[in-house]
Amino acid sequence: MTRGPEDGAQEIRVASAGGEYMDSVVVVEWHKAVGDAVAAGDLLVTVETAKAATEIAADCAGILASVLAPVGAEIAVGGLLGLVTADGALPGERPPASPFSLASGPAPRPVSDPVPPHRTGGRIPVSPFARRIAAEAGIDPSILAPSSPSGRIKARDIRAAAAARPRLAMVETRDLRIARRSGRGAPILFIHGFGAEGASWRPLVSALRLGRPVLLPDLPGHGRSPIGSSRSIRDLAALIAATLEQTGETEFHVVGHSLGGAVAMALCETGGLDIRSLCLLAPAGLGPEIDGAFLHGYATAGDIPALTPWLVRIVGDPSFVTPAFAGRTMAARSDPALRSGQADLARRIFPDGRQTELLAGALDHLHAPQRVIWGMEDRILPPFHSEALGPRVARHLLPGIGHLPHLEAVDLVADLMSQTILSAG
Amino acid sequence: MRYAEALNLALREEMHRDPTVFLFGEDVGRYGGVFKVSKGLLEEFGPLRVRDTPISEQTLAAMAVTAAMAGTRPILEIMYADFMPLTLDALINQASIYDYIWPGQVSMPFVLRTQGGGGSGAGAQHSKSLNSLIAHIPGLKVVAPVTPADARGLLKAAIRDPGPVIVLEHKLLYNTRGEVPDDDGLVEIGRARIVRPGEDVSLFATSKMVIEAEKAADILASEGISAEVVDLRSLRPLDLDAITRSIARTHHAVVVNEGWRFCGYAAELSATIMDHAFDDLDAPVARVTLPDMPIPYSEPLEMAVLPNADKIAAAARTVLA
Repeated sequence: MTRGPEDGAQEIRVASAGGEYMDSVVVVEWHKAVGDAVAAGDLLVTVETAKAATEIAADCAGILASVLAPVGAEIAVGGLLGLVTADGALPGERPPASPFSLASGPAPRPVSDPVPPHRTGGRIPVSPFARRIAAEAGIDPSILAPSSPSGRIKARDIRAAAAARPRLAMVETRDLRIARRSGRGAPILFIHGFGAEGASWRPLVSALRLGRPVLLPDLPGHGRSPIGSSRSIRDLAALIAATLEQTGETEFHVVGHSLGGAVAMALCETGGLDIRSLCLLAPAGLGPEIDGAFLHGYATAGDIPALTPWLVRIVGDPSFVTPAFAGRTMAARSDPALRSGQADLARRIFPDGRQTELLAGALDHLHAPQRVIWGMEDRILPPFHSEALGPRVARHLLPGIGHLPHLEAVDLVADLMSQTILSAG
Repeated sequence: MRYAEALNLALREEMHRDPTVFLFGEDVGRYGGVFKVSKGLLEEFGPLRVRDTPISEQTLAAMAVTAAMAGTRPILEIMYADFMPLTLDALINQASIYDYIWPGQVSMPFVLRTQGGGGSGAGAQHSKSLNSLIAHIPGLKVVAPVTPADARGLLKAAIRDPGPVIVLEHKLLYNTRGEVPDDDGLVEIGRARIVRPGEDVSLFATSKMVIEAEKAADILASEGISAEVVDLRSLRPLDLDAITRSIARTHHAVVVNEGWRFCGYAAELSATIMDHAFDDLDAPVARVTLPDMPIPYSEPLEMAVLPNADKIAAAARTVLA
């Protein structure tokens, strides 16, 4: 039975044919007559399918106002058999409610009234303006909680999230720009990969809650660093070592990704630095194979449609490449001079799309805690290169992850890194 | 100068300037107009150029179209906007269409002036504004001056315009006062007026609702909210530039119109804002309008349904929440 509209009529219907595949039922017996009082739970009518009889009872008290399906009538499932109303009068007998009269029940909500935002597929709604500034600031609005009673993420939520990010000071030398966040203890030096920049470490840095100082250099020709004249991985390492010397600090935890991983290994060969721990994320420098086509295609892609296929290649799960991710990445590469500079660098360091500098031996004398983390779906640098590393290096292979474990598996990588750094003492 | 006097001045100036301009409508001549807008004009310009007519809006509108096509510049006064539906055939099936089916061969420089608006206990048949019915018609320009200076400036611009222009006045604005410049004072059709700049929320309003929006801005200011009040002035064409610049600044919009909610003018403005400023919106556009019902005669009921400063301020608080 279903409750009827505002006039309070109970509609007597057969909701289903009791699980049988039947379209209709036959009315067998009415237990009340028109005008009879009805109490909640009273039997009203019995209907029959081919196999069984079903009894229909009243939901609430009232008076049987009409019988629309007499005994013997065949009614489709869901059809109306009769009506029970509060006073036994049929709805049509009362004057229709004027649209302007004071209704006793809730008035239908006007079509043009605003409705609260609804979630589609569990997403928290975000205002268009908030979405725009979130993309520009590199903030993912879906991880925020809305401050508005409307339940919508608004611009102020984005601004609050951006303000809560740790402040980074810039250190500039002639050759390198380094962003630095202060903290206590030996600093963590993050060396990014080809085509990235110091800022790409932000999600990982946020996830690491060690309170250490953080150094985020932009390699030459990347981010805000000038192109310079580095011709090899060892050149890059020498440049970084020379710059770090000027800071007066000697103890570092080092993290390197891809090309930056190779630079990190080369740093271990350079004298003058006390490397307290080493985390390598899919490092170059461990074998001849590298996806040279990717290096060139990614470096030279001039717009989002050209860049997107390379982004899809670099990650394990293509759905990781959202429009916001592609937009942010392209926005950081919008300078054609930067792009052609990087394409040149790739040709110099990886001539003919092959790796020529092999750096596994650089770790021979490093006794600090060392890990290598590699996504098993890495299509840029093959995970089997990790076998070139010696027995001191703990190896973590991540299923389903591509060439960007520090973005694709932020929390796991942050965890492993924390363990590495803390175990160094 | 009072709003009605500013309109009178504009009529006088334009009728002096251009001998083809003439005024006609119900009680515009001997009576000087029910709101005294044409006071003294019959005496000054004579019965050929200031004509009293029978009560026949349908015919009068067709006369405006054809007199304009015949080479004059008629100004038709329709006494109440509630009578506009009687004029719609001439506006929709003639004025809107002729320049399209006879391109370049037809000139229709006429002005239709009318007044609307509630708040004076005039009842359901004498309190409507019907902005959206009129603004919906392609080929027409529609303006709604709020200040006496704008009343003079927009009416003059309307009279000089080469096509049909509808001027929407408000019965409760006729006695309001304001400064009117000494010069020509022309106001360009299609340009909005920033009544007061603000940072937090844009209040877009038409006609007397601009006054209510200003009061709402005062209320909001006392709560630390900076509201920008925009007098659209020109309902068609819209000043898109002013609208998008305002939303780029405040990111929140409330639209106020003394018309019905469903399919009303505020709905058009909301859609326009979506079309042109979607990515600048931090909240959906709020509309403050009449509910979809006749305007009551009973004073407390009439006051309860009309948009007012309190409702506008409440809408602003909601979009900012």
